[in-house]
Amino acid sequence: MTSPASLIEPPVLLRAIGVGRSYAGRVVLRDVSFALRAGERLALTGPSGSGKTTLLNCLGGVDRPDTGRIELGGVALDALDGDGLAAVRRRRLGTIFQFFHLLPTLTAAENVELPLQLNGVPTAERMERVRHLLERVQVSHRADARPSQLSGGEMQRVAIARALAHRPELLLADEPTGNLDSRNGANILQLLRELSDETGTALVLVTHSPEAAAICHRELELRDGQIVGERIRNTP
Amino acid sequence: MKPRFQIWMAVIVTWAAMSVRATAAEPVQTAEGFSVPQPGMRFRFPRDHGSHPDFALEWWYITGHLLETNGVRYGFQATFFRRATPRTDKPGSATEAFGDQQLHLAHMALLEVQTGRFLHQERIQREGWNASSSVEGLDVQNGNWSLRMGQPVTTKGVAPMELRGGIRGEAAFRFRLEPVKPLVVFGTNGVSRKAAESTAASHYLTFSRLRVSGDLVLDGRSRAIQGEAWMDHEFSSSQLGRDQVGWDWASLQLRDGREVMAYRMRRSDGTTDPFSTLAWVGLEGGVTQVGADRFGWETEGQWRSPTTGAVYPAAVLLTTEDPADGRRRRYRIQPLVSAQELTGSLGGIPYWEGACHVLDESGQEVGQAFLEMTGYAAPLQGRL
Amino acid sequence: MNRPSSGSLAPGVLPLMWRRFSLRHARQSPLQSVLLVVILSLGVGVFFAVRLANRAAVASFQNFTDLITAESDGLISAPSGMLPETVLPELREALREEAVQIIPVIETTATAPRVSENEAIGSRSTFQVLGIDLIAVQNLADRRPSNRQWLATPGGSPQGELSGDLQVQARRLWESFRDPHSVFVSPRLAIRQRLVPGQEFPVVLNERIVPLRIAGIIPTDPGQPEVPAELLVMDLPAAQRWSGWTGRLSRIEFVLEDGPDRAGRWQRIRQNLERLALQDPSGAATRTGTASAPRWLVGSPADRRQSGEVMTRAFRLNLTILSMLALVVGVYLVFQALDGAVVRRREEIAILRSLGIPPRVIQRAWLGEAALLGLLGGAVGLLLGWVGAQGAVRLVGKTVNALYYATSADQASLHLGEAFLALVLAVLTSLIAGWLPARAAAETPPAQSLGRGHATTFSGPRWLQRTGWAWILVVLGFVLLAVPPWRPATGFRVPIAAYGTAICWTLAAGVLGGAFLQGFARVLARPALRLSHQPVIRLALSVVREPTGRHRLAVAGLVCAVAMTGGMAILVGSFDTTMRGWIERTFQADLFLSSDGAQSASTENRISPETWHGIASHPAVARAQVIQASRLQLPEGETMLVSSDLAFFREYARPAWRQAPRDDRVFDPGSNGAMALVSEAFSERFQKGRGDRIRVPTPVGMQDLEIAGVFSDYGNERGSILVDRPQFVRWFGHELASSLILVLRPGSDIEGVRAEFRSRHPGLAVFTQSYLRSEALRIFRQTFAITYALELIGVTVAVAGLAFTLVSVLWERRGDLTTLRALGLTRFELAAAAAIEGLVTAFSGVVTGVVASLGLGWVLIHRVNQQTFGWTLETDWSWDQLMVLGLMVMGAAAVAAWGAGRWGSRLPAEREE
Repeated sequence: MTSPASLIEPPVLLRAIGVGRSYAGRVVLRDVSFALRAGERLALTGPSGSGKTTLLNCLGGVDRPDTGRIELGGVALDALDGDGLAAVRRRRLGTIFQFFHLLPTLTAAENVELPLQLNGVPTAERMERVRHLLERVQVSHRADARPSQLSGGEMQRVAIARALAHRPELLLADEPTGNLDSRNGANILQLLRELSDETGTALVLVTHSPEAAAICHRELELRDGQIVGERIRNTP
Repeated sequence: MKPRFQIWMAVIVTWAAMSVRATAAEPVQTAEGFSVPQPGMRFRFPRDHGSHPDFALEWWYITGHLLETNGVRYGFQATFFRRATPRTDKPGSATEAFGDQQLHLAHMALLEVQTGRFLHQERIQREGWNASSSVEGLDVQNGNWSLRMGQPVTTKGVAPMELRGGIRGEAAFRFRLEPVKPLVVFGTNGVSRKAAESTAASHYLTFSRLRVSGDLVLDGRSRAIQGEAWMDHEFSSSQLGRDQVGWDWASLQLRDGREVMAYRMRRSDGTTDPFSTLAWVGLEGGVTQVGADRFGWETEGQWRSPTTGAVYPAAVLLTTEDPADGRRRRYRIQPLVSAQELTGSLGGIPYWEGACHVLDESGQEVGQAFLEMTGYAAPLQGRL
Repeated sequence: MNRPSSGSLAPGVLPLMWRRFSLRHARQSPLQSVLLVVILSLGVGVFFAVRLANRAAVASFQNFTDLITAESDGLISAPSGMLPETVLPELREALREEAVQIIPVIETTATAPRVSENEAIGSRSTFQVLGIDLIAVQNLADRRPSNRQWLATPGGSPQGELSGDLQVQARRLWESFRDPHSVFVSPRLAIRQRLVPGQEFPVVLNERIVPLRIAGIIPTDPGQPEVPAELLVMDLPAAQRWSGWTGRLSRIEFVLEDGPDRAGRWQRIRQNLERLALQDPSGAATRTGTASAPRWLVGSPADRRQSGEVMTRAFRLNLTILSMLALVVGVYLVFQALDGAVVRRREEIAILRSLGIPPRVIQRAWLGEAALLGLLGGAVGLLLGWVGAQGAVRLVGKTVNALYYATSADQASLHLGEAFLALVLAVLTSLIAGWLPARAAAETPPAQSLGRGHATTFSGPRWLQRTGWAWILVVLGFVLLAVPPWRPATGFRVPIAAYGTAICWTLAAGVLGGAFLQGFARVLARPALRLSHQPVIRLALSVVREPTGRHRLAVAGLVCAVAMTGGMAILVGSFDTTMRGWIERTFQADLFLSSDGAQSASTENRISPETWHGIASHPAVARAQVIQASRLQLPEGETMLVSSDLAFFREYARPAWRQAPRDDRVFDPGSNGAMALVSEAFSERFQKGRGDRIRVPTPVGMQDLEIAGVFSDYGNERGSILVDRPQFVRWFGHELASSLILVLRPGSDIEGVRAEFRSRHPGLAVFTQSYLRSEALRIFRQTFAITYALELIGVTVAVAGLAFTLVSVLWERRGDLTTLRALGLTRFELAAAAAIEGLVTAFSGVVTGVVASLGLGWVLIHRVNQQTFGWTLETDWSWDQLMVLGLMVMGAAAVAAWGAGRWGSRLPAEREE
């Protein structure tokens, strides 16, 4: 069934309904609800300890909420077992970390290639996509370098390429510029915005920085595990 | 490897021939100290049915035709050989159980006429616990094969014998052999000459007709058997002359109750040695003997042995004068089956020994025979 | 939304993980990979070498007749002593309906004459002399064509055309055949010693040096099993003559002639033989009024071949278990290494997890890596083992020679089954060791939940930290001590429960060792901190005060190695002490004589009565003791029947009694006719003690004997029955002596008398008391040579494990090391701190290990050894050896730790944040 609205607006990709999470009696998330449409960019902001990362982990199926539920493309994550969640991560999600987390034994190209291999993409197509992605993030000249030979900005570009390689529907990014200087940070943000637009990939971005939040369509502010504010930008 | 072995066997089987002193007079002993058959030998029985270890070479040779009660026909051969070994100076390690002065060899063969299946086996043993020949009477043994004459012995030196033999685990027989005609001594004055050399001679005793009865086990089934056999007992210290390459021998048992024995000594130039002999055994056992000039031995066709490659005559035509009516007879000795060669697996000397029909000129079967042909695979010269 | 929410992983992910990760790590740290492979291969190699050597030693015990008969259908041999050859015609007559060849055989041993007067016993190899009828074997030519050629090469004369000198050839051939000195040698020996027909070949047979002459080379057929180098073949009567067994046979074999229904025919013959065996044609048993004993036992060549295997089963089992020592220690090591790798590659695993690889795939990948490691180590181990086997086969051979039978095994050949077993063992070891690390890897959370400081300290398997169940294991070990050995077959015991105790205690000691380390460091820390301001010691102690799981694991590995090695040392030491005591008690007389050909436990060489009578009546001889012996086949197994003057035995061999005779009747020839003494090994094997009765089959019937006492004997493990010599002579009807013991008149010149006997009987070995004592001890010690080698390897592996641990620990603490360096510690100080850390760890391992070794030693002496061999030993704790072992391990550990510390101090600093 297609609602009339869908003719105008993209469908809802991700839905959080009353999500709550606590660790050892300490409440970290409290009744968080929101929805994210396909291709939409959402920033999660708030001070340290406000529950941003926990919420992101719950959205990525790495952590499970105590209460409430999360649906990704109509599938309830809590109904999935460990393997199911792993499969969701493998096929539908891309993740970008503050510390890049590139695999040190692999070259830049091999890091990008890995998700494609995991999803069984044929070799020729894989090569083509890796080449294209590296070109797109402007590190094709470092394709054969090991992570230890790359600069921070280069590492994050490779990480973005890896996160997008398998054409996920949703990109989760945790402080992607937190470990970069401001010039590199701005470049990365620019890149994220462009790629999100080009590929129609939705993005959930956890960040402290207003510059980062500025590339998003919407910003949710968390404090003590609750959504305390929402801002919508028309021209991100 | 094999030729080498054959040479060795030739050596042990033949040394005696070479050791004969070449003297003009009839020697009493060979150079090795073995006896030479002497004319006028007076045989005493049962002792002379037994072994004569003074002589280098001795055999008890039984050949015969068998009929199963249902008419199935067989031929068989059972031969026990005794061979003295060369006497050497130094004392050996031999003991009573493991002697080294005599070797006992034995050959057994069985022909199943219907199928043409020909089984044969050779054995070699040293004298001792497993092979022996008595000097008191006929009692020879080689493993589980034996030939014994029972008691009491009649005044003519005749008593039924028991023969146990077989071929490996495939055939076994136990026959009673009963002489139906008296013992015959071939040769002149008790000596059967084989060649110009006076030492090449033997004492040659024969039961020309034995009634056979007993059991034959073949393919795991025991069969009651009746039949007729011929038995030679021959002892000597040398069988061949210098120029001889082999011999042919035949024993014919005619339906009229008489027998014929003939041997032809072949010389290296292909001619027949004048010492070849043919003998008729009459109904009462009387012997009529003629020399080489008085009988003819012709051969017909060829059979080539697939095992040894030797080429044997396929049939023999024997012509002689019948002493009964003075008429010339021409007997055709026709093998029942071509493949009756003993391949010489241990003796090193292959030879053909087989059951035959005897046909007259008109092609009528007038008797049965055994034919022996030696020296076709290689010359026996100097071997026997 | 048509994408599947869940789906299967693309195929080939496992290989991808191995290729892209495992392999690259291996390539990036080649040293570690090589070290692991080497350690594993060492463990596997030792195991494989011992197995191959065992196999070679067993294979060298064969039914030599098989080489000539191409395997008989069956055979008979006397339950004790020899078979008289008079049974041959009887058998022939009984089997006259059967187309079967009856093949009498005599077998004895001989040796090369001694080269020097002072050579060591057992230094010359023993020949097996096979006497067989060389005329009759020709009848087996259809089974083995070369049997036609035994007499084909008389005196090596060239064979050509039939020539005029046939007569000369014939005579030469028969001369050679009849010559009792004629002997046929194997092609291998002929090549090795460059023997040609006609050549002299003297050997020691009984008390004589017999001037044999090579009559020819044993003829062989292509494709038949190779003739062992040490086989000599003679015509049967010649072998009888030289062995002194005229008129007797070792056994009679039966070969059916070809034909249908072989099995049925043999069955019939067998029944016939068994029936005949119970007949008593000579009436000997009836005459002597005893129950008749079977005259012979019917068996098969397979039984005979097996008896070598059966005899040495216990010995080989123990050796195999010992050979796994290095592998057991290796488990700890591989565990360490793989676990270290999990910690180091935690980040990588986390990322892979966040990329969507499920835990079970991670686990499989790691197990696969472990298996691959095992496979590699196994493969290299096979190579090492095969090479090692060539050395081990001599060591094993020496023991087998001294204890069981003459073996000429000098080469171990490859065996596919054993190779496969070793490989499986290697992979299994790796998988066991890799199981927990693989699980830990799988439990690694995805990268999202990984913080920056992800180098979490390794806590190790939880069981290593729980001392409660370790104490339970200790108690369980004590309970198992009460369980008797498993007896799968009579005369064969496996001390399973005792091994269980050893395993329990070793495991428990491993856990308790970790606790000891913690306690020890805490106790040490306080005074050390107060006494010293040395930052190095402080640093080192602060680390081990809270030992990581890795430390505990290293301690456990060390404990395991030290405990096992120490236990063995205690066993060997106790053995040594016991043997020395026994040797001193047993060898009281002045001179000991035996055939110089007696070089192994299975010697058949005897001294003829003429010779020993002559020696015994020498004016210098005060008393002479004649020992006669015969192999004895009881229904339950093979043993020895020995006879001597029992009064002399008590006086001059001073037996240590396990169960002393209750009165003196057994020593009185007037009353000991139905009595016997048995050795402890016999008592243990056949479960018979004082007061029990044994039935001994003899040629004159079954003898019913009462066991009057049980004495200690460390000479053989098959056990022996000792009776007074007049009984033996009455039963066996001969006086051939195995050995002769002389007490000389006071004041005699012992060396002079010895020299006189030696020159009069060059084939006799004449030993003085002191020489025999030292030789006995030397031979005994030699049998333990292989255990020393195995222990050394075990300890090496354990020390390597410690070094490995320290490297891992330092790597995990590299952040701290950077800090320490920033704080101004020199590299030397860092290395020293690591060395101290290693020493303290090693010390804990050694102390706990030594304590455990006392327990293990006790179990080995009083359970394993006692139950397997039936030898009671005095316990000698061998403190000196334990001390040396401890110091060696500590020293090696200090060096290894120092090296690791040097390495750690050069680690690159971590990237700054």
